[in-house]
Amino acid sequence: QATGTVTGRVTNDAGEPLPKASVKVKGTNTGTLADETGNFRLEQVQLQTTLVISYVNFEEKEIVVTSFNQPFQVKLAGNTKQLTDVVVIGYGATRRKEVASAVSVVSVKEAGATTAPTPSALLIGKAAGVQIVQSSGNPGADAQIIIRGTGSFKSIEPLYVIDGIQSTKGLFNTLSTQDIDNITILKDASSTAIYGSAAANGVVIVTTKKGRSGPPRITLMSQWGKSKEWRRLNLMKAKDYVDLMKDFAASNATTLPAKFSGPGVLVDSTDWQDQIFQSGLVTEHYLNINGGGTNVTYNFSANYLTQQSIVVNQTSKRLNLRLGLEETYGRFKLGQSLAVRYSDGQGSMANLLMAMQYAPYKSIFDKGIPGGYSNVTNVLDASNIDNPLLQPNIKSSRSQGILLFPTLYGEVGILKDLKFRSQVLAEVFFSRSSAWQYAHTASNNLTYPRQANLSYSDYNNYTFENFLSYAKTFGEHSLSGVSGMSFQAAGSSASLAGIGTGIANDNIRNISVATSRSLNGGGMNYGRTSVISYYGRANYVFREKYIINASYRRDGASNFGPDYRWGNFYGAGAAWRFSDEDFLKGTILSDGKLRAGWGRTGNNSIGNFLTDPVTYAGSPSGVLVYSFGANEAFVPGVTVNALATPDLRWEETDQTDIGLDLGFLQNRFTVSFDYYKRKSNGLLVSVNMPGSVGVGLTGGVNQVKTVNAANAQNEGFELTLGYQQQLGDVRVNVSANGSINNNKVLSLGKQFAAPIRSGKFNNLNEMTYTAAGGSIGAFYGYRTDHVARDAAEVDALNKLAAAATNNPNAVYQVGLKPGDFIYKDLNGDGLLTDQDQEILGSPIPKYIYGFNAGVDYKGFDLNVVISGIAGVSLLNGTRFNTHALATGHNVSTDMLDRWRQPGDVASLPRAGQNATGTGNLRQSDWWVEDGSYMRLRNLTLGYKIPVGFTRGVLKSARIYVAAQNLFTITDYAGYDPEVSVMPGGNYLFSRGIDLGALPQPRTFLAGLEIGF
Amino acid sequence: YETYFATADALNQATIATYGTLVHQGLWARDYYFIFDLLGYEAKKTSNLLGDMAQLADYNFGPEQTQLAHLWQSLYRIVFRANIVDDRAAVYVAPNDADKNRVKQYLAEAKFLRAYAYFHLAMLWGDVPLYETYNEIITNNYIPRSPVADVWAFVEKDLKEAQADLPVAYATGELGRVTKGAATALLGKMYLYQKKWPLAQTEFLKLTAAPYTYVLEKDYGTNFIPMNQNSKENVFQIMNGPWTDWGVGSQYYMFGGQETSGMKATHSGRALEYGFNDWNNVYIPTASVRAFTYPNPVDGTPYTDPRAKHTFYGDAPSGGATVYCEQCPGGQLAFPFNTADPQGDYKWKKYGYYHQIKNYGAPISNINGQVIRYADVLLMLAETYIQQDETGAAPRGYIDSVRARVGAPLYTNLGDKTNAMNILMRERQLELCGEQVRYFDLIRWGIAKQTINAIRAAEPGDGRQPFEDKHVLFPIPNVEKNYNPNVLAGVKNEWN
Repeated sequence: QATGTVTGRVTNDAGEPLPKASVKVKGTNTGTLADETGNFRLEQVQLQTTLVISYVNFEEKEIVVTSFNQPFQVKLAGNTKQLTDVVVIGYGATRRKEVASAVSVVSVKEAGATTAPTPSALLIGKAAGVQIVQSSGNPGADAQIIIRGTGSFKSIEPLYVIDGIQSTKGLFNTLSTQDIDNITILKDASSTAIYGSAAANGVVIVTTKKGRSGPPRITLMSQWGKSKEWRRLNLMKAKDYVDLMKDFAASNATTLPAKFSGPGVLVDSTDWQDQIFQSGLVTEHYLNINGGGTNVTYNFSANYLTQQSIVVNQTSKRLNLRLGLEETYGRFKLGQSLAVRYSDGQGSMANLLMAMQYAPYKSIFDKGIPGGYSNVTNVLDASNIDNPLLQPNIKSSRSQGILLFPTLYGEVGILKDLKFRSQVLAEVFFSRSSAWQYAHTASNNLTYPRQANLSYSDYNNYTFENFLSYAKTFGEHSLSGVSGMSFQAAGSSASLAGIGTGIANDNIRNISVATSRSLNGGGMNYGRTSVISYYGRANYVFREKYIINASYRRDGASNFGPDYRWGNFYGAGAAWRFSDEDFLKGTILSDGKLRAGWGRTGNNSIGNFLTDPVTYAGSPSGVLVYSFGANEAFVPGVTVNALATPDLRWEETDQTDIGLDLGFLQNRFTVSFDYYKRKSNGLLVSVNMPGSVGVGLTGGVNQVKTVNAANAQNEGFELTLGYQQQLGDVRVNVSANGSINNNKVLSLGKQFAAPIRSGKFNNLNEMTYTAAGGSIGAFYGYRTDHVARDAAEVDALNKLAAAATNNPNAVYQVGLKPGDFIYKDLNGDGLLTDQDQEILGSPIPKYIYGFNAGVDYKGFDLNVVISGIAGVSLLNGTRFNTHALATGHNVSTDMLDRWRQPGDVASLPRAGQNATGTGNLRQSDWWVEDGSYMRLRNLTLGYKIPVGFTRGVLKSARIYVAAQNLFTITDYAGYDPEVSVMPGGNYLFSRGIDLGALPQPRTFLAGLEIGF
Repeated sequence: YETYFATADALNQATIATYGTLVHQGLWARDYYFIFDLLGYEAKKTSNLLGDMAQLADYNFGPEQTQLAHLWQSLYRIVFRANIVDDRAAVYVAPNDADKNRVKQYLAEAKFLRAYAYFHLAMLWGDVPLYETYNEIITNNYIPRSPVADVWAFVEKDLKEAQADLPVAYATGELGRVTKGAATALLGKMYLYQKKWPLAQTEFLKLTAAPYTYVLEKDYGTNFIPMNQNSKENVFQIMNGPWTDWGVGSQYYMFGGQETSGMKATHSGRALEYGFNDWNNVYIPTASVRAFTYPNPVDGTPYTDPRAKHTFYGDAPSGGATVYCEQCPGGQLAFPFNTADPQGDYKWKKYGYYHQIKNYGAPISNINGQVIRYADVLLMLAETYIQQDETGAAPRGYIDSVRARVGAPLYTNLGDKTNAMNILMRERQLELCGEQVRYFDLIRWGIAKQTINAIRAAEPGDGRQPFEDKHVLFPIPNVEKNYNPNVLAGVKNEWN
């Protein structure tokens, strides 16, 4: 047959060259790479040969050589994740087809990414088994990534790796979404074990955009939008409020203040929700310049984001700058990058709870009151809620921070197949906060003077890593490996806070004019735990079909005692690409892979100094005082406030994962399925100590001791379905993912397995309960039956109780009155006791799902992202404020259906319920609501404007409009079902408790992208 | 730990940290007076008093009750911190005699405070876990309850040792530390509570003679004003220091910010929280008000005791103060007594300072809490005689000396034991009203149930009889029994 030379040019859809694109003769290793301008030349090719053209992140294309006369023009289509050629894993990368683990890759192009405000937001709804919990709707608020349930009692934080270097959540959230190329999530232990102790909660690997050689490419993006709350609550008007207060007074045998007999209180003066909600402006501008020559590439970007809160009065601004350089000299490669984030938060935000509760008859202002805002008092209004506009106007604060994130790396090819890489990353942060408070009088006539605060804090640390990597193919065998060490320096942190008082007037509003200045905080410490690690991994692939890998890591951490410092972690995985077996060739199955893996990872996310008794002089140090002397002057004291655990050791998490990946019809349809079981042993737990031990501080919290006690298990399934097709001018790309997770505590240890109770607010008992057999942080309490109609009903219950217990004085439910909730006697002993409580729901969702669709038609593009969770409960703590009345305040109109007089069949109990752990608002299913929701996260419609008329000045132009959180389907009655944790709580034991967090805003955006 | 607490200065700091717990939650920054005034029915809730505090007011509480849990935790925090002093003082090597004596004194102070804590635990809960050393706490976090007799024995031992090593008085700058007199008084009180009358008498008598110089203040009211730390009547006080500046401490530290966000603060919230023109959380019950009017010992006609005016605000017939703001720039104001209030509109004055200011605007009172003052000692001393059937001149003299100070008519005869006890009980009620003594008295006299139920049944706006037999002891709090299986095992009926 004739042989000849094939030439051609590889470009993307837009005709831009794809330098270094791969051109291979199908089924062989023969081939070449395109040059910087996309041109290639391949000699001694036989006619009818099939060539495979591929490029990272583009779809492979096959062409058949039918003549040697004409250069081929090969256009590769931009890829979606299914076919991404290379997947980044720990300390390296691998070809997707050779991945033997459970990995999700989210490419930023996919998902209307341009409008996501934070890197975590990019991941919502994109990866099976990955939940993103946004901490609140505050501008600049961060989000928590939770991978495959909750497997630790100390932290659910995954490890973040940015451009190959072990990093932190703080740095991750520092990134501008525009700078991210893709995010890979390692979920199973065979892939995460190489990160050992840091990997028990999974690994999030971020790859940023890099410069490409060629003339400067300039991209500009600019967008504007408006954010608003998507739901309001129905609150009582003045007339109903006054009725309610009269009920309250009757129920408490008290007299109402005189004004309640006059007409003034019947006037609706102010709608407080109107007053605090606003339409917040959101803007973002982005500039990227990249390019380079043969040896050097550069990439520069700047991103400026401003966000106004949806309630008065807070604005957050952020500027990200990023500069990256990469040099190649023969077998040496060097890289430098510097990322800078400047953040600036200003203002003080209104509190939703106050707007729900402040009396509707009050006006906003009152000239007679210092500060100028109206107030209420116990004496005059039988209420003491603060004016919702007081805080945002009377206090202002500004918090500025600058974070520097330099990285350096060098790589040298020692041998053809052996590379050595050394990398160092540092994190350096400085911040300054200042605050000002006008002199004012709040509710109950509490007076506050002018006050100015100023504080500084900083921290820094560095990570240093060195490793060798090896990759070699011998015929049908291919072998690769990596081995190295990593050192995370403890670094340092320091802060100093000052407060200024004795300020004469409002002319200069900062600490410089305070006549009295003192320190109210400050100290120096390590920045973090220091860890040193050694690791290695080997991969072996035979005939591109049989894949095995194994990895090992040894970690030593400074926060364990000397005898227990070192931990060993390992994992192994295997995969079989059966679609390459002969018997399946030519079927509709285009890809098929079976994977299995097992690994052991660990966790050391506990504080430092837990292994020794340390002295305590207050926090900040020096505030532990008592008064002595005729003048009662403060004298300082020092004591011990914690019990040490010298024998703390590493916790261990074992995870098994079995997965199946299938592709049909040239991967037009793809299916990926995973089963996992993650069992954690010796989990580090803060065990509550009995009160009699006497350590710990005030504040009602039990003293704790950290020990290796608990065992927990997460078991689940994940499914991802994909479909993509080009139909004429229409290109469709749809994917859906879902996961089921079961979280179960297996044991709380041998010592004394007391259930962990947490989630306490407003004088009520703890709302969550963690014990063997249940899920972590489950809601726990009584079951409500109905509101007692009259005294006869109460008497009847007491008679039954007397009969059941043979005690004529027995009472069914202590303190039960007509108009109170009757709780269910679950154990049937005739009395309501502690034993009549049970698990009421879990804040850990059983089902997490997402749906993504992209449609391109000619110049138009449409992107849809839907995400949701189901099988989840929330504890609506705002019911305390809106559906119950312990003291005077406004409530929801739902309370019109409250019990008022004997005989009433009401859904809510009488006004004047005192909130106590054994009272009528005790922990019960009344608080617990279904937290399931489905939300249209993002809807983007874009249009590429033809740029031919600019004669090459513009390379591309696109305009778009987008909506975020356009609709939400939920039964949850509070402001928003996306609830993270209770203020001051954590993701383990006080998750899903809504105490009035700011809801996620609904945002409409419009933007423009231009390329030069 | 070993390296730090190795000098006399460091042991002083460890001792001060033990004192520091006296203003922790459950204790004297706010909770202590609420707990015992509400339970002893010297305070009645208004509709502003909510949540856990209202539970106390209604006797509608169980082992979850917040303030009782705080009290338990803070008392044991005193024990833990005192045990640190004890543990380190035992191995302390003094470089000189001065330091040696200092450490001896610190150890004695720590023992007093530990005894003060166990005194409360034994009195209020009965059998409780008894940690005698630091090492016990380190090695076993789950000890069972010890019989109450063992706890009392430990208190007695501590107090005797403290009494031996404490000084009679301190330099001005150290005022507020525990004295030999305080240890003697508490030891006497402990014997009194255990009905060991002769032993109690011996201790109390010591305080009436040299080296002690206790006398009653001429003006009864000076015991409850901001400068009451200088009263010659003090035996042991809680040093509630003045709030000075937000830069130093938070006005609201008492709500759990002690030693942390509350910064440096030791003041009391009582004035603001009880104050009728501020948070207005409690009334003084009509029953307490009426107690100030009783038959004149001289002629049997109704007599209103002058201490009423120092104790509460009310209407003229009640004997309470009817004006406030006497020292305000705008002149005095009439107390707005609301005759229509179904609860009876009597409000607390003792420990307040409305004579100086119309509203407080913040909790910043530095009026020290009285733990034991000399008038209390004299009345306890009188009781030791009466309980032993001696109703003659000796007990009468002590009672009359307390009455003479306020100008109340004197007794010429106490009558028989029952009559004398009735006189003594009333005298204690009036003299020490609102000083968190009555609850303890009612419990130790064994008349808490009958007394509280009777007066509450008759009380306007109340009418309940909430005191059940179980209330003689507090419930073992959840903060203990949920986390200590060995305590849980012995708790009966989810109570004690």
